[in-house]
Amino acid sequence: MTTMNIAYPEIIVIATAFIVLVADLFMTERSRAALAPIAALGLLVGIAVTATLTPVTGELLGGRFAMDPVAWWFKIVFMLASLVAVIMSMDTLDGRARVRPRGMGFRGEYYWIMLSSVVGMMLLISARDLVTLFVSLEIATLPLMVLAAWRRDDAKSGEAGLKYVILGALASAFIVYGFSILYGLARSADLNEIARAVATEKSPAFLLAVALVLAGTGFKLTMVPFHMWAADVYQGAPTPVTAYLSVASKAAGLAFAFQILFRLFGDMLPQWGALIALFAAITMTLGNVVAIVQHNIKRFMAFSAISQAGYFLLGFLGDASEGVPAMIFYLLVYVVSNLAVFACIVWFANETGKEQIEDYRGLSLTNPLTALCMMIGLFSLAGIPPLSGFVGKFFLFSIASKAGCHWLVAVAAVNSTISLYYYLRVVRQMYIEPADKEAQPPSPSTSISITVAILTIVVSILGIVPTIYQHIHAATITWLASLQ
Amino acid sequence: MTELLARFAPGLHEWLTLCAVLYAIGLYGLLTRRNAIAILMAVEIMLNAAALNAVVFNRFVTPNEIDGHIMAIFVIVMAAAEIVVGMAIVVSLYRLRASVDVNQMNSMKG
Amino acid sequence: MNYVFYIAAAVAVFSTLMAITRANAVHALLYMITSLLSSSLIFFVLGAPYIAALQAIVYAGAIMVLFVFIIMMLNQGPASTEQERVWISGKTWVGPTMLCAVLLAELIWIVRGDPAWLPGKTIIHPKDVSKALYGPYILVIELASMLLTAGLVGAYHLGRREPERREGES
Repeated sequence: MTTMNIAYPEIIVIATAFIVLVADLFMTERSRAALAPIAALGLLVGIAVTATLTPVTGELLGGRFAMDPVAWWFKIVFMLASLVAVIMSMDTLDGRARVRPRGMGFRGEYYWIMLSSVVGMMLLISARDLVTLFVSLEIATLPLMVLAAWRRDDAKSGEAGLKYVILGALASAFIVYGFSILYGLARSADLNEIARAVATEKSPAFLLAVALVLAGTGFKLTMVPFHMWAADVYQGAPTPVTAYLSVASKAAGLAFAFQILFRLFGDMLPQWGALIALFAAITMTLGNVVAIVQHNIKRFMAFSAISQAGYFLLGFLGDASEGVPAMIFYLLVYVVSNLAVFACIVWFANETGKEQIEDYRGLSLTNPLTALCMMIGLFSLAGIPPLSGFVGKFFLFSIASKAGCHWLVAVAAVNSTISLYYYLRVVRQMYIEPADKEAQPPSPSTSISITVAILTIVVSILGIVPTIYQHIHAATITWLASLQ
Repeated sequence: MTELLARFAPGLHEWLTLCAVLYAIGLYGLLTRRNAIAILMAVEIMLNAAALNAVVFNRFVTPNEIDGHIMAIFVIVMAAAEIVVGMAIVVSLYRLRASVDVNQMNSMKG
Repeated sequence: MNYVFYIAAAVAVFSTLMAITRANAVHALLYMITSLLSSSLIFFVLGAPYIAALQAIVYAGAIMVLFVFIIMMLNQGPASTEQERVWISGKTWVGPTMLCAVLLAELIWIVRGDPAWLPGKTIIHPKDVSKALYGPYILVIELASMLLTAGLVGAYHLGRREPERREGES
């Protein structure tokens, strides 16, 4: 069992990160354009190695680093998301954008920070003890904070970073204090042993620990009432970073929630159904309602992302054999759809420097294909059949209904309708409003056009082709069987 | 007074209370202060209380193990990394706003 | 042992409270250092000399120096000279100095006194910690190095002044 190959994906990503960082030192400014392809190539190799990994299950370092079929899926999603984010950042960083943001610094550092956050996320899902868990959570999120503040010449970016650091540090303080209590109660730092030890625990100290850890998880997952950082951070961060942040922080938060709720408190999860349902309902409703009145597209997407976090929570309601595959599948769908939309937003910001929803008017006339792709992405987020977002939501809603929370299904359905309304606001600007005559029509960019096209195709077929979901489901069953 | 102190030897609960008090002070500071540097200090206090908690549990619950100590060490590492990044952002923000007093950086709400 | 705990705890709580409530950043910082030193003493009493040393070196030393450095740097300019004079006046130092003196007295008392009350078995020596760090926890060490490098690169990027327009970056 102690073969090194289960750690190859991490090793490859770490090696790529260091290659990018060191290569930046020895390159001329012009040849630094090669850094993004190097980073992307490293991630591609990482994905390929992960995909061909056999056996998928195994552990290293006395069980402190473990790989299982569910972690395999999470890692694939993490690397996929960052691969797309690296490609999306290329135009902005290589100076191909028409509106070039200043203060972006050296490209090697940017990609290094991005890749180090991927490493953190990948280890987060493989961690099997408290110390590794919180250190890897920290390395997954600290780079995101740096990235949010990346633009040195922009006070908004700095403010976004500072808010993220302060609230992220508060969340870390919650989690660490909760972990220290859990360690004291369970007399061990090993996740499986803690799960065994606290299975019947009812003491107030335990409840305090649970509350602290869940609050910290809520911060990472932008669960209401711990969502307040998201809007400012999304708006202030440089646009390619926002794109990465919207999927990476969500994926990392979900991976952490998975570790906490299924691995640590798995036995207690059924008892907490009502509470989770309540938080899910509040989160999706608040996110949706506030999104209606937004004018800035990045802020708008932030509230959209908050409401999506509410849908993710539905996955924790039911049995693990149903909930986990639905959750991972929706994560994949969310990542692809959100990145498709954000690729368009990044491209638009690169070309025009504008980020108000009204600025998108008439986009269907000047750039019909991009507008179509963005519309498909938005409709997938809203959950319109036959796009993948619909299928993903369908699985999650059926979990809630199986768990007996019929009211929650009704709330979720109403929320989907509300979300359709505000996603349509953007579509309306693009398709119905006339284009601004004076404005120069934005010109397409090769790398982003290809990305958008591929993502849109994936968004469209993920829901129709059942193979992916079946594979995730089979992986979950294998994982659950290995726990017995 | 001295007899009283001598009788109440500090056990697990006294130590934990100390940690909880420190943690609560840190949280209070984080919620009330509006100065970015003071907020970062409050975070330090909270993380420090968490590290202390881990060592207290290690000492009283599993005296022959070492996990709590390791946890405390990495909390210190984590705090250092977080503070470094926070401070770097404060400095770069300060340059943009060109304000002499960090207390003016109060549009942040912790 | 009892005295040590209660006095150190009182110092810790008092200085932490002062650190949080002082409006002046430098006053708060002085109390903060005292607070961290007192928790260092508490670590020592708990049989964790290695963490006590780390606490004093990393927290009370390096991180607090960073704080002092940043506060001093951000307050540059002629207007702050008067404030500077107030800061370095003796009054500011009285509180933290006295608290530190209490801690020092305790430490001397512990070191010189009969160590019998220190439960010998439960002291975790630096050697044990290092063995655990570079044995079962090696992965976390590597992760921590990655974390610190990420923090370093990030701080370097954010802290550097924006250069005048250069080729390629513009």
